[in-house]
Amino acid sequence: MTVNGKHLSRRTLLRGMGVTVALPMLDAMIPAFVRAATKPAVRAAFVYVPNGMTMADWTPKGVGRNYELTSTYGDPILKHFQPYREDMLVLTGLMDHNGNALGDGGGDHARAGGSFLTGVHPAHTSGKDIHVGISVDQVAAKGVGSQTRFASIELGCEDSRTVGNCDSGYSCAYTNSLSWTGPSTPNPPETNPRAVFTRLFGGEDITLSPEVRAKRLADRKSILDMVNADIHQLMPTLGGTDKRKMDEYLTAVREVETRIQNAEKEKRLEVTPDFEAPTGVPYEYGAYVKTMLDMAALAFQCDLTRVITIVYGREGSLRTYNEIGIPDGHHPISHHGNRPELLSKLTQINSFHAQLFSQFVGKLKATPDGDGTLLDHSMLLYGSGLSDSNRHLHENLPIALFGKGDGSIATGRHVIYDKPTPMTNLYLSMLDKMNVRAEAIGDSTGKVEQLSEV
Amino acid sequence: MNFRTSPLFVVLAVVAFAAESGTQTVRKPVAPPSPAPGFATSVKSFLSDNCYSCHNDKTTSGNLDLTQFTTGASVGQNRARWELILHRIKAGEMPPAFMPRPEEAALAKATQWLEGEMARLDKLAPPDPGRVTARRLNRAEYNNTVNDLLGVDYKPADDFPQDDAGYGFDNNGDVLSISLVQMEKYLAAAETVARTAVYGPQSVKPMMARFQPVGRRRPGDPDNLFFNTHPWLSMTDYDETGLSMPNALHVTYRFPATGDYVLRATPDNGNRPAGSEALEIGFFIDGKLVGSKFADGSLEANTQEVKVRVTEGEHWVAVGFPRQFEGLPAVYGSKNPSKRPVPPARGGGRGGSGGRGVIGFSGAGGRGILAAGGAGFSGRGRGGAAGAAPAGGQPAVNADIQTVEFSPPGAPPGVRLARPDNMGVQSLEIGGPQNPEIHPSDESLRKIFICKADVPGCDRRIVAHLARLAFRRPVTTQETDTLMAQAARAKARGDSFNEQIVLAIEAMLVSPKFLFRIEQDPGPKNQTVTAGNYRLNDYELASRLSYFMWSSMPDDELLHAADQGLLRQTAGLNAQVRRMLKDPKMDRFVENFGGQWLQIRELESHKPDFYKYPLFDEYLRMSMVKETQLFFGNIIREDRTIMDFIDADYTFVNEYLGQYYGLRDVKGPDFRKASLASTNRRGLLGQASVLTASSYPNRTSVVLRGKWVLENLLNAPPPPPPPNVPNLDDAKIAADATLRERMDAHRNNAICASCHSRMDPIGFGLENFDAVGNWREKDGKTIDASGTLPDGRTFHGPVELTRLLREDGDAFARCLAEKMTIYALGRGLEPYDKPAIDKMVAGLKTGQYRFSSLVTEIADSMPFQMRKAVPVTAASTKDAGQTMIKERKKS
Repeated sequence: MTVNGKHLSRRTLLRGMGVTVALPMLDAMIPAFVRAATKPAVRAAFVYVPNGMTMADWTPKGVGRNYELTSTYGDPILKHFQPYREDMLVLTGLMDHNGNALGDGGGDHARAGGSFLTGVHPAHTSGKDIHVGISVDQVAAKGVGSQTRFASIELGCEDSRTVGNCDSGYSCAYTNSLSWTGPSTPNPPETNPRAVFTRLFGGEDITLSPEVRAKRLADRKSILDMVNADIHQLMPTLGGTDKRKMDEYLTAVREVETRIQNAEKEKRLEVTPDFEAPTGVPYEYGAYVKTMLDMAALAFQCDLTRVITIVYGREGSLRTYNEIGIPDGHHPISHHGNRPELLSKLTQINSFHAQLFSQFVGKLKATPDGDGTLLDHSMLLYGSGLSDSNRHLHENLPIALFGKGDGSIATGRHVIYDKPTPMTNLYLSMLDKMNVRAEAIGDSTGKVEQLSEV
Repeated sequence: MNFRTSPLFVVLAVVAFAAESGTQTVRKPVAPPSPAPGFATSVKSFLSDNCYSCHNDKTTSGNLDLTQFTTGASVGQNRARWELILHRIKAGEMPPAFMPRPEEAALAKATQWLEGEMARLDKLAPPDPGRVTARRLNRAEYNNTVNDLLGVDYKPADDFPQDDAGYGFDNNGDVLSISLVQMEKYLAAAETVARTAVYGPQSVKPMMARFQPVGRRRPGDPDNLFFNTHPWLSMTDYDETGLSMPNALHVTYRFPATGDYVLRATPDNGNRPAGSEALEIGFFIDGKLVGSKFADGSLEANTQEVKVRVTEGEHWVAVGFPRQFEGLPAVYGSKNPSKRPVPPARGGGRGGSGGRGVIGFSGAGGRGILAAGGAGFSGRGRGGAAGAAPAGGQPAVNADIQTVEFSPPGAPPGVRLARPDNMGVQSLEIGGPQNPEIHPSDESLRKIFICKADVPGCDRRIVAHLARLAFRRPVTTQETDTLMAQAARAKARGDSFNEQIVLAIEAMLVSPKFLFRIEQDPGPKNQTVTAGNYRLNDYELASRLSYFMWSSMPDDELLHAADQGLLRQTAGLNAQVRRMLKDPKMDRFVENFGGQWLQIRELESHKPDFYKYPLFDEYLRMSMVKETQLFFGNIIREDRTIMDFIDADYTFVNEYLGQYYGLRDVKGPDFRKASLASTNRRGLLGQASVLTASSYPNRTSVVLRGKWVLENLLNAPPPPPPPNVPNLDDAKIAADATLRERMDAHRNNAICASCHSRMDPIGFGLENFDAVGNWREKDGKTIDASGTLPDGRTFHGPVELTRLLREDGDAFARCLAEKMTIYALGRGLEPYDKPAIDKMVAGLKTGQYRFSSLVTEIADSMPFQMRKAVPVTAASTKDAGQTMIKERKKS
C-alpha cells in the first residue's frame, strides 16, 4: 500500500522581510515630551526564568552598596547586569512558601509556577476544581489598566504545546500561566511574536479607509451587545462550573468593550517604528526572547500598557540550548546533583538569560521619560520561583529588581532579609508604588522592608 | 420552534431512557452500611506483617502511611488510595523484590477481602455519570469547526493563546478558560473568517518567508557528509527524486491564496566536482516536482528560483537534488556519468575554470579508480560501473576540496575523490502571492449560499441554516431574529446582501452558543432527571460524538439523526459511530487524541542533539510523526485490534524511515505498509516517534521510557518522587559502572525501589533504541536489554518485552479505554466511573478488541450519555477572585 500525503507542520526558522508597520498612536505615547510636568506613571514587569539558578553564581557577597559579585562554577550571573548596577536592587531571603509540598508530594515545578505571582498554594489537580489565586500583575492591571490601551500584557517564550500531565498530577495551567485573573482563571501568555506584534501595533488594518474602519468598529460593538445579551439569557439556566465559565466569558466581553471604547477616544498618528515585524517564532531561542523583550520595551515606550509579565520558559522547561553549546535539556541539568560540570552548564544558561534581559533594561534606560528615564519609573522584577532547583528549594529565591519605581526605591544595593520573607510582601510594596491599594496578595504579611535606604 | 419544550422531545427522552435503563437501574442513594467484618484479621494483619515497616506515620514511603487505615470503613472513605494499594499488592509490585515475599495465603486473604468490599461498595453506590463542565472550543476544534461550517481552512485559531491541558488532554472543560486576549482573538477571527468565506482570502499582501535547515549544515561540518552519517546511501542506490535525501529541505507552508509564488533556493557550501554536469535543483509541492533549475560551477550561494502557481492552503514544500549522483565524472561509477571532459587536477591549488579540482590521489601514479557500488555504502549494491582512469595528468591531493577524505569502497588504500555528498540547501524562500485569486472557495459558496440572493427570504434561510450548524442544534425563531438584526444593521446603511450575511456570520461566531458546548440541565421538574442524573438531549449527544471523533461540529447527517431521535437507540447510535469511523475526519482524532495520548506532539519542539544524532533531521521528524499517524489511522480504517498498538509486526515507512529501521527494500518517498518481522521493532514501542518523545534530547533514560509505558500503555503512573529525595550517593557507585549498575543502586534503595522496580526494567528493554529511535548495540558498553518485571516474568530485548505487554493485554485495554474516555468526556475520571470503565473493557473483550468496539462502548456508556444535574440556583457562586477585586477597588 502506498500512502502519499502531506507532512505535518515543522518548527523551523521563519523570518520575513523587514516590514514596516504603521503604529496607531495614543496621546499617551508622547509622555516624555509633553507631560514632563506631571508625575510619571510607574510601570511594572514581572520576568520569570524557570528551573532556579546556580545560587553560588548568583548571590553576591556582602550587603549594601559595596557588595561583590562572586561565583564558583562560571562567571557571576549578575555580571551581565553590571552596566545597570546602579539601577538594580538584589534581594536575598525572599521565599515562595506556597511552592512547597505542604503535604501534596511531588510537583514542585508546577507549584513554583502557580504560586510565584499569586502567593497561593495551587490545588493539587489535573483540572477539576483548579484553584490558585489572582496574581499580582492582574491586581496591578485592575488598578492602573484603564489608563492605557492594554491593561496588561502577558508574553511567553516557550511555544511548544503542552503534552501529557505537566508535573506530578498538576494541570499544565499552573506552569503555562503565571498570570491568573482569578483563582480559577489562568491568563495564559502569548507566545507567537507575530501575534503579539499584530495585537500591540497592528491591531487594525490601516490599509482600510477610516470610514470602513469606523464601520467595523461599530459592527464589533453591536455584536458584543448581542453576545452580552446571549450570556445573560443563558446564565440563569446554568449551574455549577458552567456558570463560572460563562462568567469568565462575560468578564472578557466587558473588558473588550472597554478596550474598544478607549480606542475610540484615541488619536492616531501613523509612524514607522524602527522594528521588523516578526513573522513567526524564531528558531534560535536568543532571537525569540530578544524579539519578545523588544516588543515589551516598545510597549512600555509607547505607554501601551504599564504591566507586563514575561515568562522565559515554563517551570520545568526541557529546552535545550544548542546555540550556547548546551544540548542537554534545561530541567535535567537543573537536577545537577551538585556535579560541577552540570552546575557550570546551569550557570551558562542563567547567564544567557540575564544577558538577554540586560538588553531590555538598557533599552528602558535609554528612553527619556519625564524628569528621568523610563527605567527610573519602572519596577522590573527578574527572577525564579526556585533557588536550588536540584533540591526544589522555594526559599532564598534569586530576585533582582530594576528601576526606582515612584522614585523611592534605592537601587544599587544588595539586601539580605535575615528572616525568610514572602515574595508577596515585595509585591505589596510594588503595588503601593503604583498607587494600587491591596490589603494582601496570597500569603503576604505586610510590605517588604529596606526598599529605600534608611 | 423551541425544541427544548417540544412535547415530542420529552416523550422520546422518557421512552428511550426507560428502554435502556435496564443495565443502569437508578437507585436512590443509600447510606453505606458498615463494611463486612474481617478487616482486622485479613487486611490489617497483612499490612502490619508486610508493609508497615516502610509505610508508617514516620516513614511514609511513596507518601503513604498505612497505619492510618484502622477500620474497614476506610476503604470506602479512601477508595482511590485503596485501589492503588490493591493494585500494587496484586501485581506483585509491593512489597518490593528485596523484601521478603508475603505468605501466599495471607496475600490472597487480604486481596480477596478488599475486592469483596469494593464490589460491595460499588453495588451500593448510586450510578453517577459525572458532570462535565461546559467546554469552549479549543484551537483545533475552532479551526475544524469553521472549516466544516464555512469552508474556511486557514486555521485562524493558530494565533489564539495556547490551550491549557488537564488530565493529559487540551479539551478539558475545567481548564479551558477565556482571557481578554482570547476574546479579542475571537472577535478578530470572526471578522476575518466571515469575510474570507464570503469574499475570499483577506490578507494577500505579497510576503516573503524564509526557511533554513534546523541548526545544521555548517561549512566543514562532517555531518554535511551524509555518506558518513547515512551509511545505507550510495551513489548508485539512493532516492533519485532527491526528496528523501539528507540534503533536501522540507517545510510546511500555508499559502494565503491561490496565486503565483516564487520558490527560491540557495544551495550551500557543497562542491560539484569539476567535470560534472550541472546539478539539478528540484522544487516540490506535496511531493511532486513542480520546477527545476540547474546550477553549474560552484554551488555556493548559487541561488535559483522558479515561479509556480499554487492553490490556497497548506502544502508540503521541498527543495532537493534529483538524480544528484548522475552527471558526475565517470570515476565515481554512478549512473549516467558526465559527458564533459574532466579538467586536469592540479596539486594543492584550485582547479581550472570548470570549478574546483576533482580527483585526488594521495599516492603517486595514474592508477585507475574503482567505482563505487558493488559492496558499496549501503551493502545492497546494484553493481557499479567499471572503473576508469581519470582523464588528465598527474593527480594530487587537493587540500582545497575537503578536509574529510572520501574513498569509494573497494578502492585501494589511498584513493581519494572529491566528496560528492556535501551539497545541501542553505535556505528556501517562498514569496507571493502575485496575481492572487481573490474569491471565495467553491466550498464556502456551497456551504453558505443555499439560495439565491434575489429570492425573498433567502437571507433568513441562510442565517437560520448556518446557525443550526454553528449552534449544533435547531435554533429558535428568536435566535434567528437576533442574528438577522445584525444583518439588518448592514442593510439599513445600504450595504450589500453579502455584507449582511457577513455580519450575521460574524455574530454567530462570537456567540457563546458557538464558542461553548453547553449542556443544559433540564428544569427542576423535568421528569427525565432521575436520582439527580439526566440523559443528554439528542443534539448534545451528537456534539459529544462529533467533537470526540472529529474534533468538530456534527455534520448534516448526524444532526439529522438527532432530529429523528435515532441517537437514543443503540442501533441508531452505533450506525452513526460506524459511519463516522470511516470518515476522513478521523484523521483529526489521530492528531488530537493520538498526538496527546502518545505525546507525539512533543516532537514538534523536540530538539535532539544534532551532533550526537546527525540522522535526526527535519525530514526524519516529519517521517516519524507520519508513520505513527498512518499506523494509528490504519488501525481505525481497517478496524484492527487495539493490541496492534502493542505488538503489531507491521508499520508504515518511506525509504528514509525504512533504511532507519533496516527495511532495505522500501524505495522512494511514499509511505507504504511494511512488515517488521525481520526487525526488533513491534508496535508503538518500536516506532521512532515514541522512542524519541520518551527520551531526553541528548540521551535515553530508562526511567523516562519506563514511565512513558506505565503512564500511557498501562495507565499505572508511578507516583511522583517523594519530595526531598536524597541524591544517589555517587561516591558509592564505581566510576565505570554500567548504566544498569547505576540503576541497580537506585533500586536497592527502599524508597526508590517501589517505583523504579516498575519503571526501570521496561526502560532497559528499550535501551537498544537510542534517543532518536535508532537501533544500537552499544552505548559505550554493550547494551544488556534484559529485565525482570516486578511479578517475576523475564524478558530479553524489545520484542520479548512487547510480548509480555501483550500478555497484559487487558491492562492495556483498560488503559486505552480510560484515556479515550477522558478525551471523549473532557473531564478526568473519578472513582464512580469505574463501573462504566469495567463495562467498556468487558465489551471490548467481547468485541475482540476491535478499535470500533472501544469507540462504540464509549459512545454507549453512561458517562457519555448522561450528566449529573446540579441545582441551578445553588452552587453557582461568583468567582471568588472577581468578587475580591471588586471589593478591593472600593476600598
